[in-house]
Amino acid sequence: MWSKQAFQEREGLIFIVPALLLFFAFILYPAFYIFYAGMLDWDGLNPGRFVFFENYKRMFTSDRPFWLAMRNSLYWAPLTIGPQMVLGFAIAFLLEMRMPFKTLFRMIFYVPAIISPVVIGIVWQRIYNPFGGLLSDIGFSTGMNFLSTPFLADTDIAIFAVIAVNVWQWMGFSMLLYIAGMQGISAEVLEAARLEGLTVRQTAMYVVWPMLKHVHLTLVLLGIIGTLQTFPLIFIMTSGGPNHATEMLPNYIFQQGFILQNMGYASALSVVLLLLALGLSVFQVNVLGARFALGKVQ
Amino acid sequence: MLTGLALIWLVPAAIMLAVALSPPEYRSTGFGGLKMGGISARNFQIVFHDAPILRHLFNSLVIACSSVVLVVGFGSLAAYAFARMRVFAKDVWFYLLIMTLMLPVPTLIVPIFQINKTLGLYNNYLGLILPYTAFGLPFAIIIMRSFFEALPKEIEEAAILDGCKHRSIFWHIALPLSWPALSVVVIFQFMTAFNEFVLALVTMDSNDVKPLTLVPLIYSGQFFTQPGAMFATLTIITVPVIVVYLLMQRFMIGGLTTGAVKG
Amino acid sequence: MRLIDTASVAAMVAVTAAASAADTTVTYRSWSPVIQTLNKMVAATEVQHPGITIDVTTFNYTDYIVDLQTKASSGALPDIIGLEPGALTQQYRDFLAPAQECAETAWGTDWQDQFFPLAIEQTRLGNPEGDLNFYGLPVLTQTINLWYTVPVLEAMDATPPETYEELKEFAAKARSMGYAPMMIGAGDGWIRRDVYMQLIHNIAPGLIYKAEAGEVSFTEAAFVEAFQVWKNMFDDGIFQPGALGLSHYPGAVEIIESGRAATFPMGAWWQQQAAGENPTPLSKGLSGYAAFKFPDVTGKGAPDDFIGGIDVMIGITKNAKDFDAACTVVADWISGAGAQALIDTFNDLPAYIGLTPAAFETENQKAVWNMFTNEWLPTVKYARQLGSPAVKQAMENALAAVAAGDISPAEGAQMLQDAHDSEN
Repeated sequence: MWSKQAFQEREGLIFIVPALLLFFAFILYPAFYIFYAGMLDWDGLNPGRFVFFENYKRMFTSDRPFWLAMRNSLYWAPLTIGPQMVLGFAIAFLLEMRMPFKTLFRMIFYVPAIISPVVIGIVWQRIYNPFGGLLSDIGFSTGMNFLSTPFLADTDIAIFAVIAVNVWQWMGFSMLLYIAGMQGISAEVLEAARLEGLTVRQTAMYVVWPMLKHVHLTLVLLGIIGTLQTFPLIFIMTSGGPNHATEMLPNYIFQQGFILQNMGYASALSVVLLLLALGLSVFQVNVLGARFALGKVQ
Repeated sequence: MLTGLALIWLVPAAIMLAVALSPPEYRSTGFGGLKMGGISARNFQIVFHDAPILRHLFNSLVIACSSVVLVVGFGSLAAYAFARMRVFAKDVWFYLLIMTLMLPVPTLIVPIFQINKTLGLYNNYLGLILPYTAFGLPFAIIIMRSFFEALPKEIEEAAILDGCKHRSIFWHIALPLSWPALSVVVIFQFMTAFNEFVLALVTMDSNDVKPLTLVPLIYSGQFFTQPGAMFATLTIITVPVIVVYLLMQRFMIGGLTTGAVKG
Repeated sequence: MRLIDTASVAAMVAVTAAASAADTTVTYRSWSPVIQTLNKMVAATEVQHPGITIDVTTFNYTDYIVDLQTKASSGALPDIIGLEPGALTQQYRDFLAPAQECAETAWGTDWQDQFFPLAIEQTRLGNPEGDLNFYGLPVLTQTINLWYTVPVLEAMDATPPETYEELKEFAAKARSMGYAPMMIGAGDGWIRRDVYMQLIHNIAPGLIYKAEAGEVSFTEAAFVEAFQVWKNMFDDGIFQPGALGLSHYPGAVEIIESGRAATFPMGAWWQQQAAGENPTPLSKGLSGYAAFKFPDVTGKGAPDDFIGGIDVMIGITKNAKDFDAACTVVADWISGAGAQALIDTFNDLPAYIGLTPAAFETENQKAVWNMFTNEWLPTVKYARQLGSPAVKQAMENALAAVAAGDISPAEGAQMLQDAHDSEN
């Protein structure tokens, strides 16, 4: 006979078993696998040679692209999340305030977030190309010569050019979350703000913005996830170039593992990424905890 | 001002259409392709003739929708257990699950491919559905758990007093109440599953099962030096996504909204 | 294409339904030739060899590499695969069945004499010492060189530059008229390498192969000089602005075909532009393009040979279920009906001697073809490809870094040496 507690625990286990099974098969086993492979000098094809922490040593001491990828991640997270939040909020607010064709505008801004990164990468390469590209040709015909900067070819600028595309792509998603959040703000609050004599901008900044804390938190979380996972955009648009100036870890892992066939080294890089992700996840769940998500702030 | 910004947002789409709608033997000489050389639908004819787009769309929908259903099902079950039930070593499981919240797919391609092959899932919808589900679960569980935790306990306590088991509380009370949070999970999972392409590239071999995101890759060799056909392909793979958005958008905003209001 | 789809579906149905002993399917995966061409080859070969069905999959190069590795690492390689000589073939050597046996069956014991000598030589590029096996058989060969756009040079009233000084003047004129002096998508590693190989060949013919063999160092002055010239080509405005951020295919190619490029680095395979569906006015009958040799960058006279060699070769994997059927297909694509279908699309130059396209659209096209096969190809002494994967990769990286100004030419040369040392 099961005791009541044992029965409950068994029932609880049944609830989580499907998730755990998939998790073991497709995440935990692969994670162990890369941990093991990270200690090999291995091309992914022929038998590997066990080298212990040689790969990590190389990574931390002499791998410039790795550090560029780390630097770029540090640029990427704030420079994506910040503008995306501000722009998304501003547009959501303006749309909610008084815009005709609301649905149409929502769609225009949101669509980049759902179309294939392949499309985005290819089109933006054409926009940035300083020979026959959109920006440079606008520059030539208007005299705004800075527009013909070789955005993707200049190692000092390229990463920011890519980040700009990322903001363009994901802004609509923030907008959508803010619009949703704003539905929860009652008309009385806005009316009160109006009676207090606040301008529209003041209302946005001092009344509405603080009421959307849960949305901000969600966006920060998703932004950090997005930073660690950034792959297709880089892969299609720059392949991490020129000279690794736009390198990000997932792309570097991909290049090392598949293009250069250093599967062992790529696995070691994956382990580092995994640990980073793990640390950030635990941090977020502890710090943001249950307040995160779209539920209300408690 | 908003109109201006919206126009800027539309520029890439305009480029895509301009190149796709130019005659196939024309090469744009400037403005990234906005300068057109006449209008022609021939690129679309080429693409439709050569690439079974609808078949690929069908594959994408099967894969994305199945993984959405599984993520919602398994994710909310687990989240409910984490929020409300006693489970052996609960914290261990929970942290295990969420630690992979930020795991990027490209890091695990090789082992996943080997698992798929061992399980006979190579060239099989399940070879993508199951990993996508696994990758989507952590996010779903976190969202759903915090939602379930925020549900007033009184309802459930009353139900327990009435002799209801957890499974019926979950099924009849918690799940129906949680649709706002579910809608977030649905949207997010659908988007990621629909657009993923690295794992798809190595898992789907036969053209019959390849999803839509691979279309530009499959046919880019073929259309490599035919930008018009290439962009017609890009246009065609974008249309279904917009249709899906239009179908879902009311549900999306509605779902997100209630989630935010009622918590 | 639709027809072929239906045909192959029908064939598949037939195979599963009848499964007669003679029926066998040969699977091929590659980045080359392009699928339209491949479909024509498959059709031709299947007619020639009833009982063999060929199932082909093509990718762009990067995706192909990913696919190949994933398949190889889990024992799922197809029967035959497309290869490049040197680095790529060496990486997969252990998965490939020696192919000389197949060649003897197909063409007799003197089979090697029926190929262009350079093709035979390069097939074994990078083999370990003493390993005389052929891990693939050459299908297509090529030279790498420069091309110019005929109407653009007419408009500029210019002739193709023959020295670096002339190139600089030429570039200034081209820029002033709004043309790209030399259109390159230097975002792609292989085209950077192609240009560097021509530069180093220009400065010190053959030296790089000695360095690969460990006889001289990559830090020798010639290598540094080649890096310097490469850098100068950016600084002197010979390459168009933003070159490092553009892909060669499809980025640069589209602009070339729009008629805004005066010259561009490419190879013999550029002839295939004429054979595609809906060719641009310039590409039609290859009327708008002519090939020329890389200008002399030293002022001491450039060597009168070209670098080039095998474009694509095909290897039979150890995985092949039916070696003989796989061999039949490979042989047919090299010298039989499939090969003729391939050559008719001008995909590149044949490796097998004696094949000529069935029809030329224009005199220019015929002249270009004859020049490549009769004059240029026989002079090829040195390979376009490198034997070592590590050096190849280091070269592509170093070229990007030098062009971006992140490292000096000397440091670039050092990167090659480091890569070489790491392998030995």
